[in-house]
Amino acid sequence: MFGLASFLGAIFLASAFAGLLGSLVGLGGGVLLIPLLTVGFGMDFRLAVGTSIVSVIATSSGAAAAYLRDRLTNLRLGVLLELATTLGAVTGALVAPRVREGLLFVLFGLLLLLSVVPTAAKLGEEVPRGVRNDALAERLRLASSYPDPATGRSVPYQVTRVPLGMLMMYGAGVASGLLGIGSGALKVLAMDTAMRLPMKVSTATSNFMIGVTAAASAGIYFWRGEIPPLIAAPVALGVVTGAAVGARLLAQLSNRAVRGVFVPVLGLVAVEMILRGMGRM
Amino acid sequence: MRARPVEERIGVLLRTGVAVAGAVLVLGFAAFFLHGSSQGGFLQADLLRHGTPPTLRELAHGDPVALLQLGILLLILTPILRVAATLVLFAAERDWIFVGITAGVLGILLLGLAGVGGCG
Repeated sequence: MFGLASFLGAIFLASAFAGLLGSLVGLGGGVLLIPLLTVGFGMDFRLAVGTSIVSVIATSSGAAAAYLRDRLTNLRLGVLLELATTLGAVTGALVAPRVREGLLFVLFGLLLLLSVVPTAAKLGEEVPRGVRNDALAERLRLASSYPDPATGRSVPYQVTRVPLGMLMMYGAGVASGLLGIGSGALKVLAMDTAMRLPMKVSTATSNFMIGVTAAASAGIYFWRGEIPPLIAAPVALGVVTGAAVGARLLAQLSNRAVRGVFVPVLGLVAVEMILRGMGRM
Repeated sequence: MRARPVEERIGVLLRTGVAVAGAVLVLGFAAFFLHGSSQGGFLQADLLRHGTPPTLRELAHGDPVALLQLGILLLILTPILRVAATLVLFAAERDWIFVGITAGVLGILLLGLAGVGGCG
């Protein structure tokens, strides 16, 4: 019993560290949890996915609430895009048992590399110019505005290429359901490059969708018995605790310094996952 | 400005769901280490290799592991409740297109929650 207690304690602490790091670097918990559970603790990939997806729901819900309060979230657009992300997540979760573990490792590594790029090179404009509503955005009244904290004025914006955005969101959903991550980076990428939303709105609306996307696949993993409760519980509690501490620390630390230290580390983790996957294929 | 209270209420719903689920998880752990589980011994290696199938039935007997599963299920339910709340919101605004879209999302979520194809 004592051995088990210290083992679960170690899982809790490691998850708290992942949550702390994730919130400092600006990535979700899942992206760090999967390498931690598979490489660090030697867990089966699909059980790691089931464990991670639960934590993704827990961490994103808190963040989503904060963004909603600041009125940065485009609720209508979020709900519309959730149609695509949840469908993708269910697809990913259903396909997962048929995908070889080696391939999952490689896909995960590639996605982690992709997530690190925008973090490293701060892509996207604060408020893109010359964006015009497309037909769907016009019909569904997706254009909105958000309050600029600096000036206190409301910044209006329009939404373009909604069908392309939805297609990319489906892809983000598949990645989430297959790999147990929030795929926030893919969601922001879709809203930034395809629909040309202001960066703050992309980030907030992405967070709004992450929990719902994760919930779509989590039920499938749950009934398949791929969410081990004794592991998933300390991981979820740990990640939420770590993320909360990270959010407080972030106010005192320089964002750039934190990223400069950890982005190369994440790059190495990604390469390690890819190599490990290739060894198993 | 009109939309503000609505957004805050959705935020409160999300926070409450996570807090309740978290409390159940902590309670489950306390019970696990105080009383152990009727589901037998757990080897560390077992925990990492095999998933434990849901045993919500044991919840009726106050089994700690079942309590942990309840906490996990509550976490999964939180965003789903949020979508249901959004549906009510759009219905109140008589925005029928968005009622339809939200109902679609809710339908997909309920399919997932029912574990569609998950028993294979």
